[in-house]
Amino acid sequence: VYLKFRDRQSYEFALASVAAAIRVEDGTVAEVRLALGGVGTKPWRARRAEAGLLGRPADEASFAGGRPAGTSPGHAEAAERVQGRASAAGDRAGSEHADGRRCAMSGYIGQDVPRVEGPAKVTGSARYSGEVTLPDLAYAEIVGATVASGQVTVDQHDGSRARPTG
Amino acid sequence: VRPLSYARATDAGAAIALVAGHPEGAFLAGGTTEVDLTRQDVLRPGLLVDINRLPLDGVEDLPGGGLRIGALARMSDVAQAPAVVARFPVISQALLAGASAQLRNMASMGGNLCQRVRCSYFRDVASPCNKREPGSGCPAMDGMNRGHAILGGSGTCIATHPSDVAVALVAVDAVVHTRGPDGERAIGIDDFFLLPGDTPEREHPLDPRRADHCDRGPCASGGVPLGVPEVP
Repeated sequence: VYLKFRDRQSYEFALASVAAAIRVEDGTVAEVRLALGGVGTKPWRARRAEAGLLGRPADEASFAGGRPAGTSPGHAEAAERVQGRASAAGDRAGSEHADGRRCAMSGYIGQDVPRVEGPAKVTGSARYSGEVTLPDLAYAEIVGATVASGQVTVDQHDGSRARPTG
Repeated sequence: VRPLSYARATDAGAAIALVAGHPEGAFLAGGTTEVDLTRQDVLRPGLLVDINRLPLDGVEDLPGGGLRIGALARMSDVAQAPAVVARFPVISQALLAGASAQLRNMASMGGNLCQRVRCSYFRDVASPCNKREPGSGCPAMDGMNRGHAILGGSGTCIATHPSDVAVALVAVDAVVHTRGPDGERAIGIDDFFLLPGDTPEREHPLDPRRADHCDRGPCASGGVPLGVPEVP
């Protein structure tokens, strides 16, 4: 399983991610591979965490302990949480969130956040800029050139010049 | 944009010779990062050798259950390959977690591993950067470093490696095969990425004079075969 924690859910680089592959036999971790992304100058194999999990019962307590030791808070905490999530459930997505101190958006990521303009839009009461009418409002339409890199040789804009500007 | 030459290679040997024979030669694969960085003057290739027509885009089964993924296989193709989905779902998931659909259709696996860091100072030629201009300094140390590394950094560089799929490949002990003027090499993926240390400009264990040096573009590689899958 690959889990990725980032500021937005698409087209964004990882603040922390984990690639985890675990084989469980009779409730015991028989084999485990863990690698972390977004936290190191290179993709980071978490061998100490792997060693700490190997042979242990495949339960929440073991996975909570299988964290990279000796790292600083913030990012590391995010990595630990992501890693813990991957280890514990694999696909129990959405309910638990990394909240490293360096992650300003962490209180909102994955949460349902009400949009300020949401009610107006879904009830049809929102006013869009195209619906705004002002006195003496002029309308303009952009007409694309049909010839690339061409030169205007005939001036046909007398009509538009007569219109108010500014 | 400064002037640069372009050539299209028809076989790997010719591509390597062309890049090796030019002081500022570089390979061009998907170009999803390389072209951006060249436009921004971060990379300054004098010759781009287009390797997109080389037959290195396959995903092949290996005896023992492993896979060999071509350096020019597109991220989207690898993510959808039945063998990858069935036997290495972590690779498929990691690929789909990266970039956007349009980029994944263009970006190659080799280029993904060799992509440059997203540190904003590296990408801003007005800023010093030890990776771009060795010895010039690192503004990220006391600057915008929220997304920077907490593991493996040095006094010269704390930029994070941006790839998602590289993380998955590290978890499954992939082996990177490269090919240069001196022949082919097999490098364990964990060793394929160097820590910055005192030489942050060196990101892969390849001699800068060799044509397979990834800093000069995607490796003209024989592929990225994976190890035997010992994990479900």
